[in-house]
Amino acid sequence: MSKFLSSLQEKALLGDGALGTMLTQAGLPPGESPELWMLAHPEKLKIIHQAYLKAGAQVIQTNTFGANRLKLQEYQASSQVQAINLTAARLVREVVGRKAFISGIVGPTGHFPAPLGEYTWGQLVEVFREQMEALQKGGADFIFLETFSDLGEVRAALYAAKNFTTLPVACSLTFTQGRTLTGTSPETAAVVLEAMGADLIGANCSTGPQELLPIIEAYSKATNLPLLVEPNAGMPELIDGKTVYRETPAMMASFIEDFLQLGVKFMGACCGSTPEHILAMKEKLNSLPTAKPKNACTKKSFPTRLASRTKVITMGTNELPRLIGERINPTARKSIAQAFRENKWDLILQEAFEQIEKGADLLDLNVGLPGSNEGDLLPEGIRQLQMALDIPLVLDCTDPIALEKGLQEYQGKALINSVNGEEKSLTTILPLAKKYGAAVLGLTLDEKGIPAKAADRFKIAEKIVKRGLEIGLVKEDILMDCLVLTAATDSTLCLETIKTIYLVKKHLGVSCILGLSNVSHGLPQRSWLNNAFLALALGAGLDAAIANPHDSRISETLAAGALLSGRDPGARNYLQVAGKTPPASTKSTDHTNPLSTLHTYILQGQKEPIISLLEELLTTTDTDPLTIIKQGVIPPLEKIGDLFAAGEIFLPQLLLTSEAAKIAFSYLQKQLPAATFANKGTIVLGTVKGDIHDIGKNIVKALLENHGYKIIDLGKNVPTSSFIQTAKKEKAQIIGLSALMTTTMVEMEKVIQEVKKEKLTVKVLVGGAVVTADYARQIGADGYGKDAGETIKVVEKLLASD
Amino acid sequence: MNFFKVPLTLTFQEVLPFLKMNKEPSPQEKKLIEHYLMEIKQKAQPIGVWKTFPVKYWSPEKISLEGSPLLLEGKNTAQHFQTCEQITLLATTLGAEIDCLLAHLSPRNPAHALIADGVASTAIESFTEQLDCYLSTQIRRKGYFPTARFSPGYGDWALNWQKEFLISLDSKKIGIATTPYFLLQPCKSVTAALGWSNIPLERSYTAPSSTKKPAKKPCCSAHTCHYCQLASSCPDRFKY
Ligand code: B12
Repeated sequence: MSKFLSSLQEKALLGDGALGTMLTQAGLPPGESPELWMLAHPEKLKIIHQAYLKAGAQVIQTNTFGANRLKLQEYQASSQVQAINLTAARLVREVVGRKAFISGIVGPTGHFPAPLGEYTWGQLVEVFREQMEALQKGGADFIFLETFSDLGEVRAALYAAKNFTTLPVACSLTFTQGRTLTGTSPETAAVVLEAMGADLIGANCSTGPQELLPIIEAYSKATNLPLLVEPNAGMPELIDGKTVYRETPAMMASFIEDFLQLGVKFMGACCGSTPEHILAMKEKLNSLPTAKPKNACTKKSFPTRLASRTKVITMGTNELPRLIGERINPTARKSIAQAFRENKWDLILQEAFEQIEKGADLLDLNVGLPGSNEGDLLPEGIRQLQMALDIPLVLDCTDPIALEKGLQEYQGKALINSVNGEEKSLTTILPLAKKYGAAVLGLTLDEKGIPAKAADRFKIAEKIVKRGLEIGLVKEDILMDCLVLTAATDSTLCLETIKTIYLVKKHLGVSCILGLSNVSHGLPQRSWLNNAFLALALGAGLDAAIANPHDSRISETLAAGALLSGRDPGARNYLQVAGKTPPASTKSTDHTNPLSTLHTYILQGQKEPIISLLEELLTTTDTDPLTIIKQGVIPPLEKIGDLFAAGEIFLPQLLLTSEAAKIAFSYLQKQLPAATFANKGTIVLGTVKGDIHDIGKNIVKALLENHGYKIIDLGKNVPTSSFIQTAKKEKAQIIGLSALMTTTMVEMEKVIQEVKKEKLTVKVLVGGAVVTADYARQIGADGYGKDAGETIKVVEKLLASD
Repeated sequence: MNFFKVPLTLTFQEVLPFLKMNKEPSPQEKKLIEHYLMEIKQKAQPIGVWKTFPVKYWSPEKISLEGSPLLLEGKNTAQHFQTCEQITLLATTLGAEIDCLLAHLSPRNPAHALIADGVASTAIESFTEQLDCYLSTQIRRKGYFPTARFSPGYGDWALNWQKEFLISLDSKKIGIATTPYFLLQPCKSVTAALGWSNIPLERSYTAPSSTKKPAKKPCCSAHTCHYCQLASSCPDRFKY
């Protein structure tokens, strides 16, 4: 182990503070590259390093934050990468000798890996490699990746550090509101970076210590790695025209204890900080009793964890069993094959979304298509899917070359599907998992095929686990598929699979996954077999099934199986899944008052059961339509209006409710003589000339219609003359005008002028985001509606005053 | 000219304030929100563009920029950028496909349309915030203090400047245009300016999520407006 890492294990180390502030004070002109300036003023840098060392820093950083080829390009200096990094590291060494460690600083390139940016993953790796090799040559004790805002980019940097230097690597991301710029949480970062081999992880920049506490806490719950933190110095004050950080050193120091408690082993300071901050932190550190490192006794254990760029999914004996969507697979589905062939990624995405909506926790991605190159399709598929999806991918591929390309692109922690007991597979696939921080799924087969007996399958599983551990994978990252063959050929074999699962879980303790659908191949009613077999497998300890999420029984079996196998304490998941199905309509028939069932349907906006309930009311209870309207439809409509006015429910629910009421109303109306309901009033509605926003207007329209008004909708961008002509032709009582912006709101006045000029009796009602009651009065409108709810009342008033 | 492309990161919780939902939505509403969150993340093509201009001259009424026809005009506006040496202009959009989705829903299904529209508005707002954070970090690293972002159409900066704004950014490249009435197309688009102040500003540090409170002068501070409790009653809302 490197000296730096072993020191960390003994006690927390103190880093230094910002270079930016110090460089400006030392005379760095605005707009100039700090790295190039260093080459011309090495002595100034040495003074800064010296100041931090004197303040008590035990780790001093190189001035190389922007010293990569892409950043230096902005100053036409990309040829100087070597020189700058070598010089920077040597300058620090000249100052600190052996008194402090040197952190070789590597910052982001300003470009995210494709498809977000224009550089490929491989190109970025080369950029980082160039800088890191020079830093190592210059004498850096470890590589410090800092202020990264994209998991994909930091992963490329980490890969370069691990593969092209022999130094330990610290990874630090920057977070705002709990996630990185591209959406990664500390937990996800921890899972992915730890699997990739980071030695130290944490956060810096963006915020002060107070805001970084919850970030570090989230890290600490998700990893056993030592943590690092470098907060910003906080808000300076302006005193006599100078920016002064008066209170912030003490404030910064006051957080040290909290950070140490969370497992922070390396602490420095970022933007705005000075040697004063470091001094205050040093004093605080020295004043603390030297507590024993808690690490040894508090090692946390974790289940199997897989991750997308943004989300972690757990798997294991104490976790809920997971559903892996199987449908992106061209072998089984022609439409998918076609989509792959024609590069129709939107179809593939659609397929992915549908599976997620049906409850998939992970997605299997299989691009194996005769005549196509997996080595191109797999990375492309990953690029397309990982940006849009939240959930982790299972890379269903056994070609090591294609897999490697795919794993480079994948920014989370993937599951490789699969390795098997064959020597060729073990030696090519397992190292990929280690190198790219993935988990791997083993199949219990080898050169001789799939053994019939559980004991023999177990032996293969044992071998795969052993070999995985040997190359440095942890047990949680090795999973096993005990393989099922179709019951159509030999149904006696199915139970061998179940027995193998049991043995593997019991003796090897690794997570088990099953490609479920095989069991029913070639048989009718596949869902029956799939679900029965899933239930059996869950009983033996299965942790996840690769299956079809569109078979709704699968989620049901998973939820029920989870409860029955003791994985769902308090039945919380079961109740949630069970509650998702719409409430049984038993209430309607045996309820003493069917009208109140109608109330419930309307209030909840349940459209589907309304008609059958009304039929029932009309035929079996012989209630007359008018009574149903008066006692069954109007009261909930009024109630929901009141609830809305009181802020108890929101506009969308109001709309859903009134749509349901409208269905009931139209159905009942047909049962009555045509003249029973007079038209409550005719309203011409539109968005004024020049305005193309109609969501507000359409909401108003929907509510008015549901309240029985006749609406003539002229759409958007409507010229004044259309409003006038239509109002005349339709003998409308009201013209309703909508506008979203001040530039179009002025068109309302023109309509009103025209109404006056033509001496029409029609009233003009206005509304929209920028319209106010004052403005409405000012332009001579007859009414103003703040929102859709209020509009109903205003219209009633306007018509009543007629 | 710099382009900015990152995936949308918005969450269920962030959408609620935009839908004016200050407490738990109904189960049906929840389902719709979740559905449109996914659909919009799938269909949106979020992209931003930005460019930094040195300030040419400053007066209490207006600011002009080196190499841009745009004026930052209006008393509040000029004051907002009073201490800035440079101004970064930015424009963001979700792209035309979202307009198609909304245009399809709007006349057919108002409840769905309302929710989809709110999710899309939140998406572009949150995307703009991502770009803002990204740029603010860079501004801070260079030793300046970023102002809050500020847009034409807010405070006293007239919407009529949208045209010059878009020209300065050559935003045709990301498909944003303006109508004769100065509405942006696609609908879910935003233009905003971010100042590089050389003295510390209260707003230049990102407020942590849990303690986000309305800014002191709510409706003139651009992006805080949508979340501000006073937004609907604030007199500044209509000053233009
Ligand atoms: C969401 C939103 C956005 C979103 C989406 C906008 C869009 N085009 O879809 C985004 C973030 C993209 C955005 C961008 C901009 N926005 Co904006 N935005 C809003 C916000 C917060 C809500 C608007 C909304 O969609 N509400 C939801 C719908 C359902 O409500 P509604 O349309 O108001 O309709 C309701 C009522 O008004 C009423 N109603 C509507 N019509 C009618 C008709 C009648 C007859 C009646 C009785 C009632 C009625 O009932 C409806 C239902 O309740 C408003 C502020 C606000 N609180 O209203 C600012 C607001 C509209 N935006 C504003 C500005 C300045 C902008 C930008 C110009 C900023 C910029 N420079 O980038 C851009 C322009 C975008 C463009 N396409 O041109 C200003 C406009 C000021 C002005 N000078 O005109 C506002 C008012 C904010 C403010 N406080 O200043 N914005």
